[in-house]
Formats: sequence, structure tokens, C-alpha cells
Amino acid sequence: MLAYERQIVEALLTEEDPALRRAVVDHVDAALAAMPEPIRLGLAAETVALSAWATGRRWTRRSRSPGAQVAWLDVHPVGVVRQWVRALRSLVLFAENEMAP
Amino acid sequence: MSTLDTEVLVVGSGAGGATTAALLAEAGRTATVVEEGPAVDPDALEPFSLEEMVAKYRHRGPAGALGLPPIAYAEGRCVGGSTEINSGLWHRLPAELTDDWRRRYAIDDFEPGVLDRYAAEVEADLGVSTLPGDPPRSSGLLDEAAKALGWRSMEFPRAFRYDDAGRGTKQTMARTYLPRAAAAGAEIVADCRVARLEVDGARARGARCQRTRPDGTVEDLEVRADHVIVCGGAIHSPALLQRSGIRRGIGRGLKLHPTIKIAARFPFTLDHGDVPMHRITEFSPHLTIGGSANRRGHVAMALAESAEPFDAALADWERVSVYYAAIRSVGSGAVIAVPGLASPLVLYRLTPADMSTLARGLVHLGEALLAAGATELYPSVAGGGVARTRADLGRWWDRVTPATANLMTVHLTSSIRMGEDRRRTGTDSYGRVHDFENLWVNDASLLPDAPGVNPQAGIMAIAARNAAAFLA
Repeated sequence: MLAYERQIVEALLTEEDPALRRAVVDHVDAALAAMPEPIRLGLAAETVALSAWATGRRWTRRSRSPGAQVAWLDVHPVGVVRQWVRALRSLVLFAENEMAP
Repeated sequence: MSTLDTEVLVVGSGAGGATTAALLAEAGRTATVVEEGPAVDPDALEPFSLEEMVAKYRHRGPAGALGLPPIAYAEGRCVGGSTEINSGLWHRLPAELTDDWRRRYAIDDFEPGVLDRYAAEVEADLGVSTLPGDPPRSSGLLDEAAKALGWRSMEFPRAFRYDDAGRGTKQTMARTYLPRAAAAGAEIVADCRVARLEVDGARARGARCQRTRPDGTVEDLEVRADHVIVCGGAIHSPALLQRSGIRRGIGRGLKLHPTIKIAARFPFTLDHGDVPMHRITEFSPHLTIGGSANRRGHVAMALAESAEPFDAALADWERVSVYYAAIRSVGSGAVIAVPGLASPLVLYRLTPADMSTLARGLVHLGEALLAAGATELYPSVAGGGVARTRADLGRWWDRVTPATANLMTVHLTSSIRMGEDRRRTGTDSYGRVHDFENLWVNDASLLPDAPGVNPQAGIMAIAARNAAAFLA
């Protein structure tokens, strides 16, 4: 999992329990690694672009926190950006809710 | 490198491969089944759970057909293939559809009566039945809604056997046809990926494989065979043939059932351990309404697809269930093996008519769920808004667009069509790859079009028919 992906995944987590959070992050990491290569390559390319874009936004103080970045990604005008965060959210939500006690 | 000699190599152990292997082995042929995924005890994992997804699904769950919009899909990757992870719903191919396919693609010996005969044999072998008692609430409410609206609905039979106490066991390939194949002498090799087929002119000589040993190390395995039958499913059968240099009529025309969903909140608690057996068939075969897996994780994902705030609904998840409208798509797709990559590129193009049918399906599904007593509907459409009344459904018509719709499917077919019309098919009427003497396909790839119903029954009937032709 790339650094920016990890940052967003951690922002998407709602559970407080550190062990559960770690388990979900590990699951997402493994799921991303197991994705079909054409999709994983596309996601990774998008991650690099979004990471650079997010860095620019931080410099302009428009969006510092990971939570604010998720909110920005959720309503992004470019469809593939919304799909990017949708893919990560689906992985997080399913794992978090299935692993929850 | 190890070598293995066999008379018939069957690549894949799902509905097509298991049926083929059992029928050939029982007829005295020496068959070897190679399966890319592991052998998993069918009783070991809870259906539709995270653990099952990790152990039995290809890619640990998520994959996608790229397009506008992209369509998420899931496939099995274990001994038994997708029969180990599906709901077991059973529906013979509609006669009017197969008759149309027979004429359009010039398929010999494909009359409805022929397919029904093989379907009946498979059903008797497998065990196909309806529930012995009352349906679970999540399923029965679809029937109640249909009655309230004056629509047709039915309980679909499933590949299940029930004991005297009414407990059902899904009749997966790992529980049925594969043990039969093994009892008749077939060898089943799990954790064995076929890298490519060995081809010499018009003959396939076998396959180059990588087998993962129990200690995790990988060995090369060469399988030499008199006949090769590829049953890897609608994505991986064409990908394997393309990797082996066989491309004519292979990988084009992929079909699927695009599915749009609603997470519906009710004022009462629902069951969450099974998939509803009832379907609203008023608009079938072009549009079918049914229920999905609805564990807590599925409910969470479905709620999120609406892009609306959903914390309160998720906290109340035991009163939320997930339903869908699935369509027969006019659009089509392609499977393209990419050199150097293990997974193919999968593309799918939905037409404007498809998007319109999906919008119609979403509205009808909303009508049904409100009639069943739902109080909040979260559509898998970003910006669709939560619907609480029939009047709210009206705005969904315009909100289902390629930019907003979140779609998925579990039915993939038609990437190597069968028939004698060589311009539009990849195999002959019985699955033999055009221009080859001993190379066959026998799985969902052969269906000339998406059937509009769960395809397992059709896949197995066609596989049994083709196995009989092979043996004749």
C-alpha cells in the first residue's frame, strides 16, 4: 500500500481499537496487493497524482487533515477520483464491520 | 520440472469443469483437473464472510470491468470455483432465449428439449429444491411486495439438499461432482495455475503450469494430454487461450448482468445469514429484482454507495437489508490478456439503453421495498438521495448516470461464444475451439449471451451436453 493510500485508509477507519485498526489496514494492504494488475496499476497511478495534488492543497492550507481530504475526494468532480476513494472505502467498511466484535 | 500424463486435462473445477470431469471420468476416461485456487473444506467458513472472501475469492474479493461506469465483479478461485461462493439459486435457461441463440449463432442440437433433458439429469444428480418451510423474512418480503403491487414473483429453487430438520446444505462442486470425479479415478490438482497451453498446429499438447506446494514454494509442472478442456470461466478461459496465442473469436462479446442496489431500512429486524430466494419476475428476463448477501459488512458497503450520511442506518444494521435490480445488458465487453501480467484487462461498455433500464430497475426496486414496509432507501447512486416515499423515487430517474451509478455483478458469460457461425463464435456447437482438433472450452464463456437468470444451471446443462458429445 502506498503512503497516501495508507493515510486515506486510516482516515476512513471509524474503530478506535488499535488492534482492530491494524487488522483492517493489513487486510486492505493485502486486498490491494491481490487486485488484478491492470486495476492495481491504475489505482497506484491515481494515488501518485492525488498525493501530489493533496500536497499542493496542504501548501495552500486548503486541506490539512486526512478527514478533510476524504471529504474533498468524496465530492471530487472527476469520476475516477470518486471511484478511487470508493474502492478504498469499500475495503475498509467491509473489513471493519466484519471484524468488529 | 515435474511432468504428468493424462488423457484429458480439465482446466478449472467450477460448474463447467467439475461437470466435465465427473462425466468423462465415469465414462472411463483418465481425467486430470487442475485448479488455480486451494482446496477449502466447504464447511470451514461462514458463507459470504470476510474469511470466505480471503480464502475462496479470486483477488480476495474485488475486481472490476473498466468502463463508464466501471462494474465491480467477484469470482471464485478455489476447488469448486464460483459454486463455492454463490447463492446456489437455480434457473434453467429460458427456452425462448436458447431458441434465439440457436438460430442467431447456428448452434446444432440446441433445442430447448435437448437442454432440458441435460438440466433434468444435472438437477437429479445435484439436488435442487425449494425451501421445506417458510422463507426467511428478508426473502418473503419480496413476495409480499410483489403481491401488493400486482407483480409476478417466485421462490427460486436452489442447489440445496435439506435434512429432516430443514437444515440446508448447498450442493457445491466440492461436495458433489468433484468427489464423483475423484471416485471414478480423476486426479484433482489444487493450487496449480496454468500459465499457457502447449499448442502444435491444430493440436493442443498439454499445459505449462506452476503448482504451489504446501510449504509455499512453487514448482513448474508440465501436463501432457490427448485432449484439453478449458473451464476457467468467462474471464480466465479467454485469457488463457490468448496467452497461448489463440485469439480468433476469443475474449470478445463478454456479457454480464449489471446490478444496481438499494440498502433498505425497515422498522423490524431481518435475517442476515443467507441470500433471499424470492425474485420479482414481473419484468424478467430483461430486469430481475432480488436480494443480495447482507451481512453487516455488505450492509455497510451498500449504505456507503449512496454517498449519503449513513451512520444512523449502520448502527441499526440488523434492520437493514440489501436488494438489487439486475438487467440483461445490450452492451458488451472484452477480455484482453496483457503480456507480462497475470490478470487480463476486462472492459465493459454499457449503452444509454442499459443506463435507462438500470434507472427503471432502481425505481421498481424502490417501489417494491416501500411496498414491503421499508422506511429509508439508500440507492447505490451517488447523489440519488435517500428515498422515504414513492414521490422521492421520481428523482432517481435522472440521477442514474455513468458518473453516479455504482454497479456490480457476479454473472459473467459469453466471452467465447459457441456455434457454427465462425464470424461470431470462438468454438463449434459443442465447445471445440475453431481450427483445433482436441482443444475445447466448456464453461460460462460459451453462453452466447447473458441469460438474465443465475447462469449455473445453464452452464452445467451445456457442460453435460458437451461432455456427452465429446464421449460420443
